[in-house]
Amino acid sequence: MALCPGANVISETLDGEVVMIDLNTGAYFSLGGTGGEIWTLIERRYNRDALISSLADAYPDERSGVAATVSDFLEELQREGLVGETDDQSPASDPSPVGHPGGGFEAPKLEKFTDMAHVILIDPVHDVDVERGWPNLKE
Amino acid sequence: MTPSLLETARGRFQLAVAAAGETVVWRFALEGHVVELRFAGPALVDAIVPALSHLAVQNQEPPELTVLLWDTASTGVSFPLDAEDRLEIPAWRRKGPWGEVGTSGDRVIHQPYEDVLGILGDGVAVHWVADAKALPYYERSAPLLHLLHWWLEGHGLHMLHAAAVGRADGGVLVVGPTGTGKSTTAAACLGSSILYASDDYTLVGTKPDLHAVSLYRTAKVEREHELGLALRLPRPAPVPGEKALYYLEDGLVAGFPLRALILPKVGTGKHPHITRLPSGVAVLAALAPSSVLQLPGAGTRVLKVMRQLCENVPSYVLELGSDLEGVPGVIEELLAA
Repeated sequence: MALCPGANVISETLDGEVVMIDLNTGAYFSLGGTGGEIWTLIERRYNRDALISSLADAYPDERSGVAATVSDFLEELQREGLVGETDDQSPASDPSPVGHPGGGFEAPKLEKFTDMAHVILIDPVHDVDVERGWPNLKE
Repeated sequence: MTPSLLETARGRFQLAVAAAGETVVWRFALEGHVVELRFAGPALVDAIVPALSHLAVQNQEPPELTVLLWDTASTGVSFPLDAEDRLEIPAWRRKGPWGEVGTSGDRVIHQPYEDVLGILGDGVAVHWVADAKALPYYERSAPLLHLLHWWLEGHGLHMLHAAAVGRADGGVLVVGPTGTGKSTTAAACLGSSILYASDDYTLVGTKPDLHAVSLYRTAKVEREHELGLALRLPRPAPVPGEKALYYLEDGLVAGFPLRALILPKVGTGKHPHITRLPSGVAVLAALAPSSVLQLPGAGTRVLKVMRQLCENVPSYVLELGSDLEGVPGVIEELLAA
């Protein structure tokens, strides 16, 4: 099975950083470090082993550490529902090589923000502040 | 064959027209795209038209979108669903933006708190309100928000949760979640040489260049006394418990090429201070969630526009001080640089 972005996740990459929004929960995320490279490979529907190998090959001096770190990171993405699996292994975007910035491996980082989640999760009839209206919660 | 929700709603609109005894027709245009509003009687006119009146056109060309509007309180004609059924319509604000109703491709949004329901079909839309007199100020400040957001996206204009100020030759987009100083920054420019396009929702087009377009001529102001606006601008009689809502007559700009993206934040000093950001990532992270989550149905397409903006237009942090009168000068300097 190939990896793919979660069904309710939309994302864009800017300057190597990825901004992602989970439309189901209202949480949003940023991916730093090599997270952008990993996300690109997920969008291209690499399977898990091929993705880990690709990153490990790109940083041969740190091969075993990279593989373990990337594996853990994929699990974290899956726990958050940001990554799914698909039978369709056709590449979803430009198949050009993923760029690996110079220097050593920079561990991928996932930051999660939930300050906008109420927009999705509040009950618009009962939880809304009467004076300020949706999407403002009652004080 | 069972008529679609849109077809049924159109039939109810005709009943509302008969009950009201007249149709009020009013037109506006955005970048040449003409929208005709057809009201069943006058009840909703004052809730909808004032925010859009700077866009009025008189031409007789066939409109690209016709919106049928009525309220139940003044006509006695209800929407073709009872209240309980309406609550079962996907509340996209809670459950995510995707989906159409049935197989027609029509889009529906129900705002249960305000009891407003919108349907967008091909070239025709329906906007139903339970009681025009009960519409809260934020509906009057940004009427038909979701219908226009969906329809205009198909015409290359993307609705973003952002304010915009500037001049015809260039301006800035002010981004950030509610409460971060977006509206305050825009309001601080009122009466200055920096003109006003919007304070909460701005249309952004990408062709021929990245540009902002003013949709609503309203300003919702929380710090009106600090800004001295009450002395400078006319506004309708205040409603207890509501934010001050102004319909601006002067100092408006129809739109402009975008020269900068500004992320305001409340500072501790007196004077406003602006700093260039090395990347647009922070702006994208501030703009994207609030736009995507508040404006259902956009998703990936509008996110791409935001990425394009943040990639091509320089980003800044504007630290707001206690001296809000200094804000226009800072933006003036930025645009002159």
